[in-house]
Amino acid sequence: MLGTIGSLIALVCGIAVLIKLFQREGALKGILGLICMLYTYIWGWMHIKDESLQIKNWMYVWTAAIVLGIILNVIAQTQANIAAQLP
Amino acid sequence: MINEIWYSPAFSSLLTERREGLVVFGAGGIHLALNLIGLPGWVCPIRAATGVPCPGCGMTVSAVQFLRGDFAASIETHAFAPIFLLAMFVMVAALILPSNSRQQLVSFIHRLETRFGVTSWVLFALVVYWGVRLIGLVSFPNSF
Repeated sequence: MLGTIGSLIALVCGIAVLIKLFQREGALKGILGLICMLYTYIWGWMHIKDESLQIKNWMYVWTAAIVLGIILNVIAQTQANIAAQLP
Repeated sequence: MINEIWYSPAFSSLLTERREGLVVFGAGGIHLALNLIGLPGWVCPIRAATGVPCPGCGMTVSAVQFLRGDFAASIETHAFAPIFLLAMFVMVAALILPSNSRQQLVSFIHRLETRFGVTSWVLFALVVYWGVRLIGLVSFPNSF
């Protein structure tokens, strides 16, 4: 459940930054950002200080959602390993 | 308007901005390396949230298979991996070449983009390929 919410938050933040990428860099780089969201993420961090874009909060929330996802994945993996060892 | 977008330089502008190119290549390289050693890398937010793979989903696994010499599996996983690897190679070349050669390479890519719309064609083909896979004409492998 938490993982799904985290994924949805990450997607919403990604789309918000992607819209800014489209507006600033044009359609081609925008499509590149859609195909490879990692590019959108990097672009977002590289332009975080650009006040005209106003992506600072989106990037912080997106990063928090990613970190949350990693933590939840590790917990799920650990629980799965423990469950597998139980007789 | 469409012509202007279609023939606009995208990849060559990425090569021109050295810092951006370095960060993009670095992140791509780390992601690829993590996959090569069997660790999870970047998770596609579109697929994670909706379950629907994005046009680029499977590209990393495919690239890893290609680098390991398993070309048939690579093409089956994602047919665009060789193009992705070629783009990575060009980025490395642009980063390490001396200034003059680098300028020649960027100009060459720029010409390809502004005269023939190479990047647009590749992205267009990728989106069509994605559509074909989504409607089930070519299957998405379960291995990614």
